[in-house]
Amino acid sequence: MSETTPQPKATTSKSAQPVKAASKDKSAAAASGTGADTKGKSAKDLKKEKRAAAVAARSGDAGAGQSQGGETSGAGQKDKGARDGQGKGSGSSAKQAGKGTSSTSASAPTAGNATANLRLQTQNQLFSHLPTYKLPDSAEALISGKIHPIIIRYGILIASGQIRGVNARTIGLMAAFKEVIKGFSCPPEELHRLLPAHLSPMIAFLDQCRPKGVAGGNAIRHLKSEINRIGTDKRITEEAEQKDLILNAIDEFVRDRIELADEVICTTAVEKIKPGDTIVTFARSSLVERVLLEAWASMQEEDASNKFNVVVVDSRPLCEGKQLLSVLTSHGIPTTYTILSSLASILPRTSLVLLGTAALLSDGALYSRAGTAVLAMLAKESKIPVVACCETYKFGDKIVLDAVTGNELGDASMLAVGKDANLSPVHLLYDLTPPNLVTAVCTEVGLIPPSSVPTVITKGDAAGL
Amino acid sequence: MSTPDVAIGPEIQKLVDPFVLKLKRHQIEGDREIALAVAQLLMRVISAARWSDPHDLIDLIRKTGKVIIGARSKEIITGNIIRRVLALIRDEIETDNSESTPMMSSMFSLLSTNLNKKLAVSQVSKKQNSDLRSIIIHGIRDLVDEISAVNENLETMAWDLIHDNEILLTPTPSSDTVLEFLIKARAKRTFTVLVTENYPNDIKKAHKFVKALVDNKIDTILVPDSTTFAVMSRVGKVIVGSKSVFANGGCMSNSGVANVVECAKEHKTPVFAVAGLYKLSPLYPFSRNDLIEVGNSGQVLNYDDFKLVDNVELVSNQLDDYIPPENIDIYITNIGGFAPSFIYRIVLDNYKTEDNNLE
Repeated sequence: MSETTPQPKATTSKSAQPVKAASKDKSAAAASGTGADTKGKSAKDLKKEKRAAAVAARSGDAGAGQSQGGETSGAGQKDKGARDGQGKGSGSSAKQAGKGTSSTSASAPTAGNATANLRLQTQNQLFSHLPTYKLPDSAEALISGKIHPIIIRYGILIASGQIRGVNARTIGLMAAFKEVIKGFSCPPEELHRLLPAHLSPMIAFLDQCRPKGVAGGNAIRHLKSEINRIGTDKRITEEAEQKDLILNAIDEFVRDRIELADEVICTTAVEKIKPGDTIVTFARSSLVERVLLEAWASMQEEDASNKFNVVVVDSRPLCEGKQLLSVLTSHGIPTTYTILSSLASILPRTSLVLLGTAALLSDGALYSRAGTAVLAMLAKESKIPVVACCETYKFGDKIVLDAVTGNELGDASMLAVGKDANLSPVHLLYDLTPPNLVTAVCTEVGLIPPSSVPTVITKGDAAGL
Repeated sequence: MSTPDVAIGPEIQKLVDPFVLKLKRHQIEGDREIALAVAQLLMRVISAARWSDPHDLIDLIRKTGKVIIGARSKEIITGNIIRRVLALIRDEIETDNSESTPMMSSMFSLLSTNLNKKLAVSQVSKKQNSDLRSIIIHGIRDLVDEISAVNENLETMAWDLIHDNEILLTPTPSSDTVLEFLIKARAKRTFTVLVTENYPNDIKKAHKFVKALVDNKIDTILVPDSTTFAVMSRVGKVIVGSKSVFANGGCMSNSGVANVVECAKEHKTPVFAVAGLYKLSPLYPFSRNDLIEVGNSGQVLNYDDFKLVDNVELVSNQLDDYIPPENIDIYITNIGGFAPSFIYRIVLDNYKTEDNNLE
């Protein structure tokens, strides 16, 4: 590889040479001065010099040899004469340039190393922008003294996947913050400044454990605004009263935005399930699970012979569908279990696809467990309605164009094939279902099309939700 | 045409029976291995068989073919090889025939009946039986060579199709044709390959595939099947290995591939299918469900989970997928690249329509 690839590079570097060489000349001239001159050399110049050296090394690598070096330095001189008006003693600087090339050609092996590194980078550049999955450093967090032990505990639980699902995570987060706030004490008039400052290292720590996502972000934003509202309220003077109000606000958030919302969503979604239907769902969503159980209960209440079927579609490596499967089967719901790749044989007899969501972005795109998009796409192809269940606190105003840009990496060791430099198993946790693949979103404000998400967000802001 | 008096004799039965058992027990695995085994078996059958009229030989091969296909009815390759050999025999008979009777002008032949033609056939063929036998066996040898050299012939296409720094995705890690194709391409190009896991049936093969790619200095990323939609926006081309290709341009491949090519269609990513010529079948797919083989459901939901297994209605695990022609942009075969809509022409060149139905 190292024999073949420098060829095109050499040609590009040749064309880039004059300008680079000229810039190097400048710095070389500066270097030829006294030691005091080097102090005056800016960081920019240093960078330029390094780049020029790398270019020269590469051209030396291509086997052009001394003659090419002479040529380029000559070209550099010409170029300098043409452009560099403030050149001092072009002859000496050209000599310097010649020296420069000979010294950098000696460092050719390091350049070879650099190309190897470059290759490693290109291999990972697809997903390198995503935070790598790792368990948090709980010991360091404890020692720092800034992070409440219950936050550390919660952080480990979400990082290891023992608390999974956005609702569970948000409820856990709010419960943990309640404990923190209970133990926090400060003068009442300082609360709106000190409490957020007390919480922010904890929020940062939790972000290291797992990105908080749209829903977590909304919850934290709500908490902060409540703290600010209560802290700045002049009528509340007692610390205990302030804390009570904040704790109440947290409880209210969990009750209204998650628990009650789920109840409303359930009653709406249950109406869409008719006897004899086959409902397909992907992986596990606590909300979908609840919808299915309630639909089953109400259908059985009406008439014990009324039944519907559920197909749980699952995928490696998390296999969350098994949990849902065990719950559904324990309630006696006839359930089929399959993996994503066998989907094509199930869809012809499907009447509804019911999906859970991690977030709903402002363009109506569904950010959900990886694989959801595949199911939604195939369902759309087969003309099967796709309904996503989503509480409005999961609505986010950010826009993500594709699932590679903003995503989360899971534990890649679940896919591991042993250690190999070139090989990187990648475990993306989420994918993005474009809004055109989703028929309707079932929320606590009703069954809405995905395009109505921004409306709900702005209305919600206006209503102070 | 079919004369009932030609039965499979004991000497042929002796050859066919063990083969049928092997096929039934999945002791011969891999498309190329099956193809080669069938070709070799037919070679032995033809050398062992006694016939006076070449049409008797055709009948015998048809009967044997039915038995072999019946051994594994969802395997298309066995039928392909049998039909290729039949076409070979028919071609030989025809050339013999055309040597004796002068070629008629094309327009006239459209109008003529083939009554007198048949008479000529039986006259000529009688004297040349031994010649015909060796010619046919030679033809099958050529076929065997063609099948074994499939991957080498594909390589020349590799450089034309893959450019530097491209990101490819392959959902068929079990296909050694894809593997060879990528390794050949690596000689001149650097690129990244995303490989899907193909859980649960091919997961071990996927790991082997990834290792082989890495050993050949190809940047490889293993992704779960569920992330295909997520990563598709970054993928430049999808390369699919096929198990068999139908005359309509659709093909059979590993389970999960239908999802991947659908994702590719959604993202307008080109899909290439690689297939040896021997995988092209003259058959048309009529019902998707008839084509798909269902595998061990214990691999999807382990039987150790007896509480779950006890209560669950059904656990499905399909082994292959049918891919409709509209989801494939081009077929790369050892004789060149073709659009799916053109496959029927290549099929016509290699098979005789009278053998499509062996019943």
